This record gives sequence, C-alpha cells and structure tokens, in this order.
Amino acid sequence: MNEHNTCDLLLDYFNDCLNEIDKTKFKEHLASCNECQVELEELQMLTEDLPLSSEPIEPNDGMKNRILSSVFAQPIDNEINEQTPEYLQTSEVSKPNESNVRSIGTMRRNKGLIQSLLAASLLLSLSANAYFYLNDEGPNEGAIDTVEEEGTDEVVNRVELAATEGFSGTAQAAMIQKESGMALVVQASDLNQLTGSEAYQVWLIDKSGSKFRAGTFLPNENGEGAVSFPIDYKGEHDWDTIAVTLEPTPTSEQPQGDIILASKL
Amino acid sequence: MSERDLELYERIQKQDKHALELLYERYEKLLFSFSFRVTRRRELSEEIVQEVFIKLWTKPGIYDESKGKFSSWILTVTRNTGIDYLRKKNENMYELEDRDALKNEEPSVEEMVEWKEKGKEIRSAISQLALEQQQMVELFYFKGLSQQKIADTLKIPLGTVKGRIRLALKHLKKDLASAEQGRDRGYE
Ligand SMILES: [Zn+2]
Repeated sequence: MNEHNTCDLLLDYFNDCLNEIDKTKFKEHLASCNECQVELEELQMLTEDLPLSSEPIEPNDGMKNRILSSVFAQPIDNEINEQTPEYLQTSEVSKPNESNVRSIGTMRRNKGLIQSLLAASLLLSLSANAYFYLNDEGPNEGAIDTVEEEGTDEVVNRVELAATEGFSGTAQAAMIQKESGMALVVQASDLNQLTGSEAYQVWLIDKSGSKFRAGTFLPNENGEGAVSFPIDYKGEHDWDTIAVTLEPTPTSEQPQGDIILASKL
Repeated sequence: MSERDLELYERIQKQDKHALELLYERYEKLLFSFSFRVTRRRELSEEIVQEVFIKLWTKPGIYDESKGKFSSWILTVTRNTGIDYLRKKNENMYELEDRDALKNEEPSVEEMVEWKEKGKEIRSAISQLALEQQQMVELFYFKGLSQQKIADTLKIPLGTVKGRIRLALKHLKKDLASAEQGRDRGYE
C-alpha cells in the first residue's frame, strides 16, 4: 500500500492481511503512533458485539466428543510463558504451534529406540500429557522383555509400517496397555527431510474409518523421528490402521497430506 | 458470568479436564454459530472450534485478564482462526452471503441471555444499514478481507475503503446504542 502513510495499514493489520515485512513495520509504527493506538482500540470496541449477531446453529452430531478427545490428545506446551505472545493481536493466533512438535536428537536405530520409548513411557503418567526427549543414556537393551515379564504393562500390538509407493522410510509402532490407559509409541527412520512448515503426523484409524491424530514429529538430520502419545480418545475404538502422513503444517486436525507409511493393526 | 469463566480458566491452567469440558459446554454453540456465520460450512466450523479449544488447552497462559473479558477474547480467537481458515482454503471469500438464508431460526430458551438479547438487536441494526454499509461489515469483519480486496470486490477506490468501514461500524454502534436506550425506556 501507500508507502507514505503507514497508518493506512491499520485495518489490514487488524485482519492479519499484512505480509511479514509490513506487519513488522506496522507494529513498530503502532508503538509510537497515538492515532493508530486509539483507532485500533476503537475498532475493537466497535466490533466487540458483532459475533453475537450470529444466528444460533445446532452443533454437529457428536462434535463435543470428537473435539474433546482431540484436545486431550494434544501435548501441553510448557514453554509458552517465556514467550508472552500477543495473542489478542490477530497475527499470532493461527501460527502452527511449533512447540507441539518434538524433534528428537540423537537416537539409536530400530529396536533400541522402541525399547527406550517404551521404558521412558513407563515413567509418565498418561493423564499428564507429558512429553520427553530421548538420549543415548536411555534404558538398557531388553527393556521390552522386562516390561512384559513384570506384567503391569503389556505390549498389545506391535507392527512394522511399510512405505507407500513413491516414498521412503520404515517405522515400528507399538501399542502399550498400561494400568492407566493405552499408549502409542512410534519410531520411524529413513524419512525424507522436510521443507518449510511440513511435519510428519501419526494417525489412528478405526474400523468406522474415523481418523484420530496421535502425534506429530520432525525427523532429525538422519531422517529418524519418534513420538509417544496416550490414546485416550473418548468412546470405544476398534483400531484398524496406523498411518504416518506428510502434512503441510503440524496443526492439521485431519490428514491433508500424503500417506507415507501405513500398517494394519 | 465472567467470574465463572475465569474460575474455569484457572482450573484449565492446572490441566483440569473437567473444567475444560464445562467451559466447552458454555461456549460450544456460540463459537460454532459464529464460526458458521464466518464460513457457512459445518465441517469447517467444527475444525475452528476444535482449534480454539486446542489453543486453550495446550498453551498455558494464552489468556489473562489484561486481554479483556474472557468471552470477548475467545470470540476474537475464534474469528481469527476462522478467517485464517477461509484464507487458506480460499473458498468463496468474495461472495456476499445470502443474509436471509437462516433468518427464521429463533434462539431457544437455553441460549446465553446476552447473545439472545443482543443478537436480535444487532441483526436488526445491521439490516437497517444501507446495503453498501452492510457489505462493508460483512467483508471486513466477517470475511476478514484486506482493504484492497474490498475495493476490488465492491469496485470502489482503495483510498475510500477505510473511511467507509469506519463509517459503517460507527453507524451500527450508534443505532445499537439508541436501540438499547429505547429498550431501557420500554421497561420503565
Ligand atoms: Zn499511525
């Protein structure tokens, strides 16, 4: 827009229509322009009641259960308080939540990792929505057997995921029954590197074809990635398939990208 | 009402699932209806409501009282999420909606009181605006278009868009204020 009058960007800033350069420029301007501050406040005041003009619509059938189960399947972002983001500003709200994505640094290949994940998941309360990092100081080899012998936690299902045509990669997945609920552990290797905001996502698909987001991960430089998530979706599910997709952003609530790896459960 | 919101929000901060469920129940219909008002699509509206609650659940500290009333804040987040989805999906953005399509659905008894009272007043005030001003409110607020796109859509000079939007919003606010006064007098 007009270079000579930054004030003219205000409405586009309000609607988050500015590119990054103009947005930064306008934010700096806003800090020092009293007129724009007043106008922005006025705009918020003038539009405050407009949402209430919406005609009441009955929500979709089963929406509450679907939404609450995907909400509770999300990891909690513990780093938020350090950043004090300006969430009221339109610009920050819809950004992918990068902290939802765990990149795993060094890891051992194949079997060793599943065991590490499994053992590490024993330390977690499933309801705490905790996440963890792995390192080479993980539990000893053979943990998977120990766990089964101890009898409190049981590997219910363990599968190898094969790459679909045109993609590379392999993965192992295990479903672990704990006293407090079910956990899903996935480890992948030989994955292609990602570009931009892309992320790998793990999905569980039940017999009725409903897809549930289980977790998001980014591969390390060796093309390896892993994720462990509680499975506490509401209702009974007869799981049919596990799949890994390549998503354009880490925030897809339903798969939009290609299936890279899959297996029947 | 807002005290209850705050209390629930505090509990959600401590990862109290039940509190989130209660807050969800309080806002489900309003947020869904507002998302539908913006997108006109049920599935998309559900995705938007879901994203709002994911933000609430996964980002401790996302809201605090310096951001204003909780209800205004959560509606702002819903709008931002909604127009962002519209933009990403790039669907029918420039189309002016048929405002009468859903006109006859009356709010039922259990609607939030404020929504019921104000909703009627605002709809009536919007419908009394000149058509061009109605379009301004629709494209700017409910569709989140840039000034340039509004100018293109309505074939008006870019330089006049800002003034027209402000005029429309102020006109609306004034009509609402006098409607409220009228209602208060009516109760006397
Ligand atoms: Zn200014």
